Amino acid sequence: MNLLFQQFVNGLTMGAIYAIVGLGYTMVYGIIRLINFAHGAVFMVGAYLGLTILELLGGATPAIGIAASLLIALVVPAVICGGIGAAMDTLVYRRLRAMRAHPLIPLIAALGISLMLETGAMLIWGKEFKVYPAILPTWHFTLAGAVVNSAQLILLMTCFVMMLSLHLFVQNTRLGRAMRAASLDPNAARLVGVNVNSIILLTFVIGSALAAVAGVLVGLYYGSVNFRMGYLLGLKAFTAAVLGGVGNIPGAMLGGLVIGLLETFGAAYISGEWKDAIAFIILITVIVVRPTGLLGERIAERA
Amino acid sequence: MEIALPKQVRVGLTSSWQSVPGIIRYLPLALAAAALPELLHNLYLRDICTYIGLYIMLGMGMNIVIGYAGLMDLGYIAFYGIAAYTIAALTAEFDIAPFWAAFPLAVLLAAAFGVVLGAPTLRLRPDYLAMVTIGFGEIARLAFVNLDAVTGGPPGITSIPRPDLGIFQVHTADQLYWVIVAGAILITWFTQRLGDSRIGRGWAFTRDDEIAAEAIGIDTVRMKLLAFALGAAIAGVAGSLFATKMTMVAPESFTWWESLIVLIIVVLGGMGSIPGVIVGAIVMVSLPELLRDFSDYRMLILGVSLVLLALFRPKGLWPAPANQAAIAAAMGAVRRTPRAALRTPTSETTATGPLLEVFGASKRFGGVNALADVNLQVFPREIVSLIGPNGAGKTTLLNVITGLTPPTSGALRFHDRDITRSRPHDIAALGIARTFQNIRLFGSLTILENVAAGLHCRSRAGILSAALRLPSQRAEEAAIWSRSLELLADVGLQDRATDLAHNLPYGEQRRLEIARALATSPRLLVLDEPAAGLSGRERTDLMQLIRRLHAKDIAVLLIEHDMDFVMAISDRIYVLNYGRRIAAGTPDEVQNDHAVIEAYLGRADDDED
Repeated sequence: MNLLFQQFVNGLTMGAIYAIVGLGYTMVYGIIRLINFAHGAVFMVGAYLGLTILELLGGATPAIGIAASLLIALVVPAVICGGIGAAMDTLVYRRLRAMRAHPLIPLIAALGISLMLETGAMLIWGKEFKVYPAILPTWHFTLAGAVVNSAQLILLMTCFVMMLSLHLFVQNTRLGRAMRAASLDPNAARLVGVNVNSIILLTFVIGSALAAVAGVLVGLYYGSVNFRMGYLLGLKAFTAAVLGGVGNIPGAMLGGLVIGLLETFGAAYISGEWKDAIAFIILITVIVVRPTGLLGERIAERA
Repeated sequence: MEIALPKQVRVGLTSSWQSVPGIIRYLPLALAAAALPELLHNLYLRDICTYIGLYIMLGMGMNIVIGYAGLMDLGYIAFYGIAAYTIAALTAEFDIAPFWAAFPLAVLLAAAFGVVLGAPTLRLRPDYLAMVTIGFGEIARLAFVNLDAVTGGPPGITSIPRPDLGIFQVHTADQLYWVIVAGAILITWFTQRLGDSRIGRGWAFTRDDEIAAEAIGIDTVRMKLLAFALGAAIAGVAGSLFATKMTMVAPESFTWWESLIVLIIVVLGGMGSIPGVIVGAIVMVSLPELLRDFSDYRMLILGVSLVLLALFRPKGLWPAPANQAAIAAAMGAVRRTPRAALRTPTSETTATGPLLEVFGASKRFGGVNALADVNLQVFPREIVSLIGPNGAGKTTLLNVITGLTPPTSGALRFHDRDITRSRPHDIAALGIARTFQNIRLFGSLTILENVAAGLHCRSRAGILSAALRLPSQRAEEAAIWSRSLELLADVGLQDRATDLAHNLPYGEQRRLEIARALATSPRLLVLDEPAAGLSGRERTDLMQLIRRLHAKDIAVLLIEHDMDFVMAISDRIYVLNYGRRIAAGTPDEVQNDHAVIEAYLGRADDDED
């Protein structure tokens, strides 16, 4: 019985990451209909930035204490990656929108940015897996027979706080309302005075910052990072967004958790070799059977 | 002294050059380029050229999918891999068939996977297709890694034999090189001819405006599936040749990155452009070779180049030309080619009953009754108007009749056939054509092609006859162009045949849309606010055009807000309000109907309530 619950905890952990990364995809897709392939690479850059910062702070035994260095290692990559997201939008995507380019063109640009970020990370940090500083105490507790270690606890708590804050922000603030409006119909939002371009910029910044935090958390959880880590995880995160309903923020959260759980259980009870295929089989099934996702999409049909 | 050629003669010369098959025009050049590595005895160069050949094939297949049909396939390499593994399994792993027997099987299997994947997903939004194909590509790669019994697992399958069939034996890499060059030339030729045919135009119409294409009789799902399957089959040809060239297959040849390279080849060259694909393949194969010394930086350079390409040359290095030149050539060729008869809709019935009957049609959108229990009839050669305040459900009724929105309940009969659940393109083929309130032309295509779109469902040339340019296909093409010109002349647009549709002024766009609808030789023409936005003069012309249809045995059902227009032209009028039919009759009857006056002007006792 406790193995089952252990798988549940493990699945929940990955699911939270898919959800957080998936949010970046779904928010951007909801407004500009772009599958931002560079998003997975931003996640990877965030993981490396966290690594560098932790090393600068003294590696496994930071001089300023665990809590403070953890906070710095989460916040600084978020800020830098938020900047990368902003640069992506203002330097590339916004121009392409202004040009009214064919929908494939932004996709090509996204692939180009993704390559730039990945190769850039490879040139800076090297091709090999890098070991993350083990700053977290090797501490764990047992819950209903399942072992929850400190990395999982911190990861789950951080993800929960981020999801809740994002939800409250989107539901209760003026900017959040503008964001929802832009997602439903950018043209109508523009007509009622929403500056859609700055809303899009904001979604890039928020999404990239969230991805960076997720990257650092994954680094802490798995203990190593690599410049290719963003691609597959990014695809699965987008799958989570589609599963939940594109453009639907609670949907991405739910979708992430479902994918994480199904993948972990599938790997444990069906076949470990096919683990990475599970997300895509779910994706194809959902798109064929229920294209609006579990919670429905929050985007307007544009003829 | 220079003698200027008369215009006629010059057109003749150009069109005879145009009519020289592309393969003969470019074959010497292609062969010369292909022979270069052989002449230089350079094995390295030959290898690179072999890869260029394979990627040209892949690029051509992808060009059909993305360039012609506008579908995003990001897992394209899976089909290449499926065919390569089929060859490997049949010729080496199980050793049960020689290459040339396994080859058609491999190609068919790749196409079959294309159909199986495409059939349920091609109805969806294009970006969902992108996701599904990425997922499929990953699943295929994992299958190559994990289905050890068939695929040999991570190390793959080795010692695949070279092609061998009777006297035609390919032993050396040199010979195989020529097979691949020939394959690339053949597929290029095939793709180019297909693009310039009825099928290619069908893809262009589907890509440009799916709803308009359906409404004039094009089975868009079938067109998309055809593109997807053909693309997969071409990837299958390339994959088979790849397997035998390498004499081994392994999963790492079929990664997402390979799909991307093919996508980049097409976009880099210019979507839909044949020379673009060739340029793209040459660049994408040789650039990494040239940058070999900067191996760590070459992906960075590629990434930067892609972003710069997107920003500064979004149409590619060698964009597909607008169709104007090709259309002009087709028009020139019309004069010299015998014409075939185009099909017409169902045989003439002399029945006196109604042409169209709507029984109790209802349509609900969520909680809103857009249509409630509406009955309507249109008799042959009748002009019937549908009027009512905004939001009365008029356009919904037209959408129900033309199959764009199936009714929630009720039934429709056209020509004694039940069309309640028919798809729009079937209804169009049966003889109902329509225009749209907000004009849906194929804006990026020429005016002549827009009209020719209406003839798509009245012509039949398929892939094979288009590729071989059989006499029947050429006669049909000639008939399509000459009929289109006639139809353009009917609406006075013949002089602008080669202009792009989105460059037409508003009133002429409306006329062009009517000409396109008439091209389907309908029995019933459905017009949604045809006079909206027209000048007084244009209105009179439109009225005359509609009256002329009467003589051609075409009935008209139209929505219009201009009451003078409606009263002058209609035989009968139906009035809708809040989704219900509130009156029906001749213009006189309707004008004096109390319910109608109330609906338009409000009830006299409203104030007293």
